[in-house]
Amino acid sequence: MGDLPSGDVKAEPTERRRTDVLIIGSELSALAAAAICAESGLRTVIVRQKTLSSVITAQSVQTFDHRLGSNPEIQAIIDRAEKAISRSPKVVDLQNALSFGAFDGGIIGAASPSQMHIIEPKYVILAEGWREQPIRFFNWDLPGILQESAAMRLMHSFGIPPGRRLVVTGVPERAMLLADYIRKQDIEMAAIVIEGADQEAYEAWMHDLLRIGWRITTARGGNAVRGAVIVNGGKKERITCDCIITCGSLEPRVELARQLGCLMSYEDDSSPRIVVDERCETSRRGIFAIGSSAGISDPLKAVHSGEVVGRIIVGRHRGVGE
Amino acid sequence: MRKSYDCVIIGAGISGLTIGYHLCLRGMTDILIAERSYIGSGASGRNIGGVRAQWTRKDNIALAKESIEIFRGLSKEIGYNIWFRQGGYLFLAENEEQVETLRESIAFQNRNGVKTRLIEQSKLNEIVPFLDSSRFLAGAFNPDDGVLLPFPILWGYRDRIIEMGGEIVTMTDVKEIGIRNGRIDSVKTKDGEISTENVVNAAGRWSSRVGELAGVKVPTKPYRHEILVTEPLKPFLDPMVVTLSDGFCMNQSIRGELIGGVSDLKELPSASWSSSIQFAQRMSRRILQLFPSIGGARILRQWAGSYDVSPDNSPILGMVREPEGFYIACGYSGHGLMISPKVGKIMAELIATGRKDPLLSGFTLDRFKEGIAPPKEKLVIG
Amino acid sequence: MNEILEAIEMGHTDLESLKRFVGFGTGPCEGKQCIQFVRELLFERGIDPGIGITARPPITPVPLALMSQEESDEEKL
Repeated sequence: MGDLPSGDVKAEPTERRRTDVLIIGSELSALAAAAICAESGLRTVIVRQKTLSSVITAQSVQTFDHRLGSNPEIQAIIDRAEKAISRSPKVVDLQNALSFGAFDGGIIGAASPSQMHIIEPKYVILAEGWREQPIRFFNWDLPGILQESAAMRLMHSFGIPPGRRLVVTGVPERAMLLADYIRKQDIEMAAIVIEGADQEAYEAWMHDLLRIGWRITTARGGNAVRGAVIVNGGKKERITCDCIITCGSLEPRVELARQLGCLMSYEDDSSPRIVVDERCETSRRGIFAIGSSAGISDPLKAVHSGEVVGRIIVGRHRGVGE
Repeated sequence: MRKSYDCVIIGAGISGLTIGYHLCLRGMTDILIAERSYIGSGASGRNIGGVRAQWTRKDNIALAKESIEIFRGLSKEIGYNIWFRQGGYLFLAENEEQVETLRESIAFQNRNGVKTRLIEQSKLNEIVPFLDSSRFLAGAFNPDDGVLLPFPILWGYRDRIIEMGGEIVTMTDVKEIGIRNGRIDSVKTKDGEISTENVVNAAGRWSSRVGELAGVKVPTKPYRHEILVTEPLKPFLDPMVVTLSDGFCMNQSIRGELIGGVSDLKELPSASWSSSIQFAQRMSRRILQLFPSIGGARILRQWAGSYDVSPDNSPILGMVREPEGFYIACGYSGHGLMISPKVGKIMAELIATGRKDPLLSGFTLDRFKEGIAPPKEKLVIG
Repeated sequence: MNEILEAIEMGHTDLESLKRFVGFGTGPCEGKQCIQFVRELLFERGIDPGIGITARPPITPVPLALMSQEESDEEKL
């Protein structure tokens, strides 16, 4: 039967479970909520891709660096949460799993590479974080072109330089932070290509590299990036490089919220946000969105949102007023 | 949008658009097609695009056969490639009773000019390689059946209608139908009143509601049917395969995706378009029963649509006695697209000239009164 | 990209209709990357893109082998 995809996917029996709380995501806010629910003895299912948080950007590294343990407050939160999760017999921690949809009857499906889970939760906490949007130009999918989160993972988590001579482009604030980070790694920068920004705001060492008002139109190279073509009105410039890092806009993951029927709002740049009230509850009662899903990017505030929601759910579950 | 039209068609699915197209061809261009959502938002845009002539009623066969002939030339006629591919339909029997059903249907179809033939178990893999033929005792195969892409047909009709002077409005619900002295007089939308003497109910899953607006009882019920699509695979499946037990029906599109559905025969009528996990589970199990070697193929998306089901699984067409000027073209029970070319023609003829094509006689609304009903259609998928 | 611009010109000004005409949002990314892009195109042309495409499950592709598994008998939690 040769050419068809094989049936050799190692699959285990599908698990169906009822639970009090379903927490989706691996952000700090999710961990904080999980800690509260676990410590209060609620049946809790966590669906997360444990290994790395959904987006590491230079901005998030600058704000806190839990990976290297350099922010003790954050590290304490993580330790407490992981301990509570592993200790409680009522917590099911599905690591390496992704939620794939909301179905009839309030059912949410999740899958790891070898097993499907059908979950029937009373309460849902959405903490799926951001997705980085790609920046497109001709040949944008050549090897050597990376999104900021991927480049940061290489450099920050694994200590591997993504290239020898880098071009950075995209959202100005993040591009600048990234350029700064790259310089600290002693990697050569070729250019910083951003559309609109105030030159004076940037440090002197960057001035020669800055191309404000320019954008990349083409990545050159056959099997891998060898250069970039940038334009500004009628002007054109070719830059030699072996790596282009794009800092695309960050969009909250909202697909599950939309399938669950949560009200969405659209900002002026027409990107979707989950509508939540001051308690992080969405338009559907019992479904909450915390952390970056609710537009909260500051880590301590995100943790706080997780704790608040955890407590609200525990309270409702016990029939106690809010 | 103007204040008066010769005819208002409610619904811009395949039914309404085909009728509108043929009215314009006949010179009756003062028409408005009012669609409550976007073109093809209903079943017309949610189906697999299957086209078959394997039926157990003479009139259903006639409608389908003539429609297949029209589909063959339709791309040229409307200026959009509809990708009509005649790879055949293979109905599969899993027990002796089903084999008998197939034998009878084949004989009936052959008598009515359809070339379906019986395929023994040992020969099934010649028609569908990779099929696990050990499950199936026999099959019925008509090579002239096929699949097409529904959307280009809708857009083609839309363009031609507008070109010929007809009008189509979307996001426009018809809220009221005005009747005076037993005759259609007007319709009302959010944009006001439109005077007209002819209204066509081509509203698909909303057809019984639209009927109520005119005081006409249309005995159809919506049944949810779900479909899923896999990632593109190397081409291996030519025909549409169908099983009788559970309305399983699947084809491989020109992009290589497997697309199909299976029914929950116990599901109650509903106009819901939500997705159920049970469907995805049932469908995947069925797919792997038929094609055990493709477990690694991934499901990309799932959606739902409705069949507008009539009591005998056959369309409701023609005029009603009262009010005058009210026409019906609905109740297609899951096979509206495949008979639309012929239906569109004879409905337009009726509306424009009053002539009733003989084929219409088995599909009147009146037939559901006691004693008049023609036989129920048996070869229903799902 | 050009197809999308042409389609907008032809009058496909809502996302659902555009999607069916051009086919964006129907590959394995399920619209996660391209919907935004098209929304912006419509927005730039002064067209309100509306609520957005109905998000259809599954959000990420699921192999038939996983979806078809029987459920284990154990009573869970």
